[in-house]
Amino acid sequence: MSVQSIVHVCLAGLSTGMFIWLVASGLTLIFGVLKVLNFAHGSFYMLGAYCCFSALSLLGGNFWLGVLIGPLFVCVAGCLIERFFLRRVYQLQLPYQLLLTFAFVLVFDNLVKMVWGGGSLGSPSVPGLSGSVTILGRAFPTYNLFIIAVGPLVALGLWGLIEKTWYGRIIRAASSDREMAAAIGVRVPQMFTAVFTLGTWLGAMGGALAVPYVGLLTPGMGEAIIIDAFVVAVIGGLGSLKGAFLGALIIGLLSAFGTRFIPTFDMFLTFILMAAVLLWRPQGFFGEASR
Amino acid sequence: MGKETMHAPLLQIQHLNKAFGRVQAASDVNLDFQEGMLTSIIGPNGAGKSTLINMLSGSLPVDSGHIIFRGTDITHMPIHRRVRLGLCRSFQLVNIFPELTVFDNVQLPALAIRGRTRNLLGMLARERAVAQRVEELLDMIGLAAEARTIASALSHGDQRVLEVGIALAAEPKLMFLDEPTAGMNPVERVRILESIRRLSRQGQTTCVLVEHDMDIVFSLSDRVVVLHHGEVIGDGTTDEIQRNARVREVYLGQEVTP
Amino acid sequence: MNPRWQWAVSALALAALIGIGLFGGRFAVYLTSRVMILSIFALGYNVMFGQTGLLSFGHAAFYAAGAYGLGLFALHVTPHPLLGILVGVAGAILLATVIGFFCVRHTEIYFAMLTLAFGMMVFSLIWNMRDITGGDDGLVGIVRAPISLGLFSIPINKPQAFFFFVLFFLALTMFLIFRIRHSPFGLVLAGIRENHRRVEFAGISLKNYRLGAFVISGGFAGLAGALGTLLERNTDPFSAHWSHSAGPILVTLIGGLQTFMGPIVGSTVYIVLREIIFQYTQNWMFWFGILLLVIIMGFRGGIVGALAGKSKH
Repeated sequence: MSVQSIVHVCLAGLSTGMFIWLVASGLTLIFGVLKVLNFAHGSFYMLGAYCCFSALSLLGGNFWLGVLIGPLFVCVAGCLIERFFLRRVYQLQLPYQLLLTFAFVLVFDNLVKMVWGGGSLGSPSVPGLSGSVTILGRAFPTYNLFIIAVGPLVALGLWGLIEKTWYGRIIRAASSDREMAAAIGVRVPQMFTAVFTLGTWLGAMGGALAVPYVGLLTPGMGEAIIIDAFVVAVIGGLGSLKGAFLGALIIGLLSAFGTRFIPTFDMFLTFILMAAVLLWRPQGFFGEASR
Repeated sequence: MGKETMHAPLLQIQHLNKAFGRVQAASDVNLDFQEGMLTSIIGPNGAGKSTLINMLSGSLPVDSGHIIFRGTDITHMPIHRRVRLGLCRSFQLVNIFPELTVFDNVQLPALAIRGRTRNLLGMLARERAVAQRVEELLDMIGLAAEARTIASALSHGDQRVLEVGIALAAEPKLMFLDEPTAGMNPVERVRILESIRRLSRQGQTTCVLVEHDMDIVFSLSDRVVVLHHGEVIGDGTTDEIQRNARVREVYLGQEVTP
Repeated sequence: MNPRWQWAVSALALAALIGIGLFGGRFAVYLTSRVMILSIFALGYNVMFGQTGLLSFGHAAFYAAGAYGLGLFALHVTPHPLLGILVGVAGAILLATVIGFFCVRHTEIYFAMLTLAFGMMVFSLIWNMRDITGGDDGLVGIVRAPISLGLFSIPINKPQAFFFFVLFFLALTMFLIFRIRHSPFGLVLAGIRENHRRVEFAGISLKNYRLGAFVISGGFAGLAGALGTLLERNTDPFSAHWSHSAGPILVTLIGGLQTFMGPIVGSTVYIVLREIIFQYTQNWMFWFGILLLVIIMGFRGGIVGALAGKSKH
């Protein structure tokens, strides 16, 4: 177990973690503000990836154009969903909201199969970020380094938005007390739509950036990532961005170490961690105590 | 008047503290409750009455202190086990089972307290002893005629009465009633108060009321406890409390003629 | 629906089922067997969802536990169907107890999320442990052996006899669930649905009774899974997938949540609709997603108005 191995495993863990963070951030933001658990978030991630793929195919193979445009389409879908479906069920009981987003999972996951086929699509390489960098004598994909850099940027951006801007203050107000915020003049429904769209964009962006990272697009990628996002939410506390960041790091590192050193049982590690957190600190590290 | 007993107190509250941020909702509260003595807890809004009830019934954890009920330290005991021991409460806001019948609302706690609820495959219809007791209870609170009505279809006053009935059904030795007459019309008010008085006299259940209505407090209570900013500032018979200068200053002051 | 009507409708349904079993063609018998199995899954699910008010997205895992439990038992120990069913149901109950333990102490959103996560973990396990579960191929070649009872045997290897075998379990399920619904335990479950905070103040441990409802519905899911394996003679890893969890949810929504015959009506509609859509496209799940959307958005007052009581959140 050399230093080289450890460093590389850490780097792999960091890139996986940051990658999960990109997806989980959107889910957490939506839950934190709207108190809605969007089961379809994984589907937005997947749609982001597929739309990016199609966008870059149609626009001459430019990856950055794909990343820019692909998620925008998904955003529009997210915006429409919030405005015309989700908004109508806020005042209903919780089961309806959960079932609604679940219905969208069924719709989108199968929509992908219908539009892009059920097989997998290979992804193109990204000029400038393809290839690898030699770290401590071993090659590490350059693109993964890019992901490791993007993660904290997104975290910083979200933190800045929520803590430092006046809009962020409004968001915080409305998320802790919807009625109060409306009473002082905040246009809550519009704000919710905006936040949902932002969250969707984050998820779709995660998907678009995933294209070179996972190398292969499959219709099952949505469900795989949503489970990771849920586990992160449990560990970090549902609704806490800090917690999601931390949770994603932990899960990323854990699965990297697991894959490297205990290959057959690496998936158990995540379950065990989740079970442990559920037993000892059910609300997650930064979540509020439920009840 | 209730019986005075020389036994150990039914409930002992020792050095209870609870803070919400900088607000001290309970401040070194020490109280004993004797069996059979009807006590009212009064105090201005924000005095900490609800906090106290919530800590005693188990829905709010204490910061420090002890709660001893029938000799057992229940400070950290979960709600349902306190109920099993005989400590119950009714709620200020109606907290019933809306789509169940009045009968079922009362039958649920009655079955639970007798340990009948683990019965998976037996028929409810066969639980005759419990059914009889439920009918007795409904008679006592005056809802016998509404037994088959769905609870959400009752008038608000009847729902308040049912609220108390659900707490009663668990056969408590000590019952906290959180503003039981709030929102009731005079007829309903008399009915529920008569039930409380009768209950207290029968001796099986000791009642502790949280109340704002001074008429009720002074006509019904054997003892009055006054809270203010989380502290006990008065504890005695109705006469003693009415004469207590501090209490008058803080709470009753406005009613005293100069 | 008053009791006399319920009895009449149930008797009618029973007669119809017997009729199909005796006179129906192969496909009708097969399809109706699937309806009955799904009904068992949904009836059990209804105890948790309709009666107790808990919405789980991971119950397919318990179906799969029953399916694979019986499958593995039949392949490695003995193909005796009754023992296989016992093993399957026991496995499902065990799994439901473990997963339920972590899930029931949480509120609705967390509960839903956790059941989904645990359910998909079971799916991952089944998918990845190829050596044991056959991975994406599933277990194949499971024998549906006749049940020998000393002097004579019940030839459930034949479709018609198996049909009545499943019908027997459906009737048993309906009987047990009827008893549970009308028992003191069932009253507690209804109380949890109506006001989960108040039940604690009635002396009930919320966690324990929720777990009870969870495990009971898991057990029936396992029974359905075991019967499903016997029907198909193989297992399918996607039986643990969350899209399969949508099955009982849709069935109870279509058929009516707190009604007794609801799951059976719903299962019939579900299976028949699926067959019809399947003629035109493989992506029947897409249309079921749309159907679910329509139900939620459109019929909120009607069918779904009876949904899960007035749970406060």
